[in-house]
Amino acid sequence: MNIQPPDSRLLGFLHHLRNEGFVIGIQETIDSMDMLNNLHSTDEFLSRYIIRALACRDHAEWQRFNELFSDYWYPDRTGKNESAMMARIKPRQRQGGIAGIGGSSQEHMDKLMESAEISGAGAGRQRTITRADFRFLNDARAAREAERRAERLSLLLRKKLKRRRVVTTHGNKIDIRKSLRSNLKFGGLPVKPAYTQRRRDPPHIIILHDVSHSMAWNNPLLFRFARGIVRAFPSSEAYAFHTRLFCVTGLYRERSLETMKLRLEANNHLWLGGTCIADSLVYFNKHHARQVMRHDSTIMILSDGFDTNDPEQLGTVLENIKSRARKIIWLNPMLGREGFEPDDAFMHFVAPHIDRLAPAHSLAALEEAIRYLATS
Amino acid sequence: MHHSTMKNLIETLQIRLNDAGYIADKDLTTTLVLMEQLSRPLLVEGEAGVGKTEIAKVLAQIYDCSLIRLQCYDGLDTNSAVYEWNYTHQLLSIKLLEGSKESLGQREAHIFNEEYLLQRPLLKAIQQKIPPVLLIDEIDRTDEAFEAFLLELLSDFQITIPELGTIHALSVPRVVLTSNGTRELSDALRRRCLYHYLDYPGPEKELLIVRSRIPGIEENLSKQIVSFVHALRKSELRKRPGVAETLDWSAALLGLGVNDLKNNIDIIYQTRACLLKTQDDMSIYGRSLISHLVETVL
Repeated sequence: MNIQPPDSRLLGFLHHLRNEGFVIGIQETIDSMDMLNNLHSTDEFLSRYIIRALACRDHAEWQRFNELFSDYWYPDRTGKNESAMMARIKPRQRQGGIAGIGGSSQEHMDKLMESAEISGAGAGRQRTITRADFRFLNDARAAREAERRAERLSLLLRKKLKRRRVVTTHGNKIDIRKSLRSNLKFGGLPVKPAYTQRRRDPPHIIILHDVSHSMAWNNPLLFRFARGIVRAFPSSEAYAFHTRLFCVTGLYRERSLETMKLRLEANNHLWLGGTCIADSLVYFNKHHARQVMRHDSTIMILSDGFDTNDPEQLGTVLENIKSRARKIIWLNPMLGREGFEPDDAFMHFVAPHIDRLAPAHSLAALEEAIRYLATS
Repeated sequence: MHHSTMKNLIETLQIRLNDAGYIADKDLTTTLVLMEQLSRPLLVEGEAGVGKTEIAKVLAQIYDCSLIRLQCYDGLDTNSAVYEWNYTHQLLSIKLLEGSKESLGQREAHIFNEEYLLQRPLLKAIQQKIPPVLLIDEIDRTDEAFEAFLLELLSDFQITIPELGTIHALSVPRVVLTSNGTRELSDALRRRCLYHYLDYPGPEKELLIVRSRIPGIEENLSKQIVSFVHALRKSELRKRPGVAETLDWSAALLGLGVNDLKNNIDIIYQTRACLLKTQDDMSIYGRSLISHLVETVL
């Protein structure tokens, strides 16, 4: 292979892509350099197409690539420069205030719930963590423990039994064709019969996660809960929304919690602003539903239901989503509060399209929701 | 390794694709050149009807080689995709060999040879002397186990048959995998492939496609068809019409002798089944909405 001396700017770009979550191996790097050297000219578009074909792995990366390419190679056009981008890659210092994950909401909690102290040891502490409303969990260690356990809740969800049968060494039904084939070595005598069993498939869950200001209380817990599901079931998808909706599956799937936190915080648009649930769901329907929704999908909405849109509009869009999915489950952290009742408009327009409206203020509530999903 | 520059190769391939009736953008052509130069499989994603499968067909046409197609489905196994022993033939041979004086080892060698092997698409593809185009269509419909099996084939172009050993490719096929995104594919599979996302074409490109595929169509009608379909795609539909639907509809309108959409609301209504593929979409698009769309767009 005729490889020219490495172009440090190209390597820098590939490194930049890696930092943005692209998986680029040595082979892709060599191929990119080889193919670009063979261009014998600096054709912007051809270079863009070559690197894109080699670097992208899915549609989400494909959609992001053009902007990343332009930002890096033509910062004058986009008003960004390389050093600004490198700063984006570097770990940021936590700014305080209301943010979504880890302890960043702690500051806010402390201000409002100074008197509520949850601590203790042993079984009593475990019970407290399980039952406590996450708003009152202002002991950082307890909060972290609750988050960790929320993430593991998805393990309660079992794979669903399908009609499709697969060949196994043990089972309840003999596969004649396979048995004949595998017993040829015994002269056709069925010494080792082959069996079939019904296949188990992972559930397909799509999470629509409200990350608006009003949800900041419960975001650390619900965020870890959502992350647990997305990581446990690879086909699941997650979208976050406030006044607009965006895909966060890739972020939630990030292996390292720390890296993921840094990437999340780099996206400043998260965890801020008001809520337009109906508009966000319309956007989901229009731009993502075709790609991700299946007839057996379970839509899990994590939201307190405070919406600046019209409840009737929300009802219509939920009806549309319901017609394509198997089930809609709405987990509302406000439901755990004493005296809280959803308003009449919500119950009239929205509730008829939801299969289950359940609280999500504590670990126990989330566990109950998961058990419902596992048995339904 | 490369006799011509990439730029020349891309331009030449684009002309050849156009000549074969496939209107390809420069980005797709670049990816196809990379596929040829690097001998790597190509994974094409995109919505149904945008021309993913056509890529493989047109490649077979321009490289003048055979097209071997594996249509994936839920439950596809190696017996249907790679090879299967012709076991009835083998059983018959066992019976015939019963009276012979051959040893057990000789008999076994006799019934496990290539004479009794039924080649399925994947094995057939690596047994060709002239590299064929191997189309693995709708890979997302298979299960993870089959996808994992494909990894060996796509990285080393070899297939292991326990009774015969490893069969290496006589030539490296040009592999095109398509996916509609009904299931997330594994990273391992994606890493082995070049990636291209095929979107709906822009109006100018779609116009070229219609004219290239439906030669007898009038310029005015083809423009109207493309504008109408583009407006339809922007609306709230359960299933948006792809290029294949545009071509079907164009052929239907041409067959009905329509030369102007403006005065033919009834015919649009009657032929809307070419474009709309679900009951919901069909019921939404009644005469009044079609009429409104025609007035707005045309």
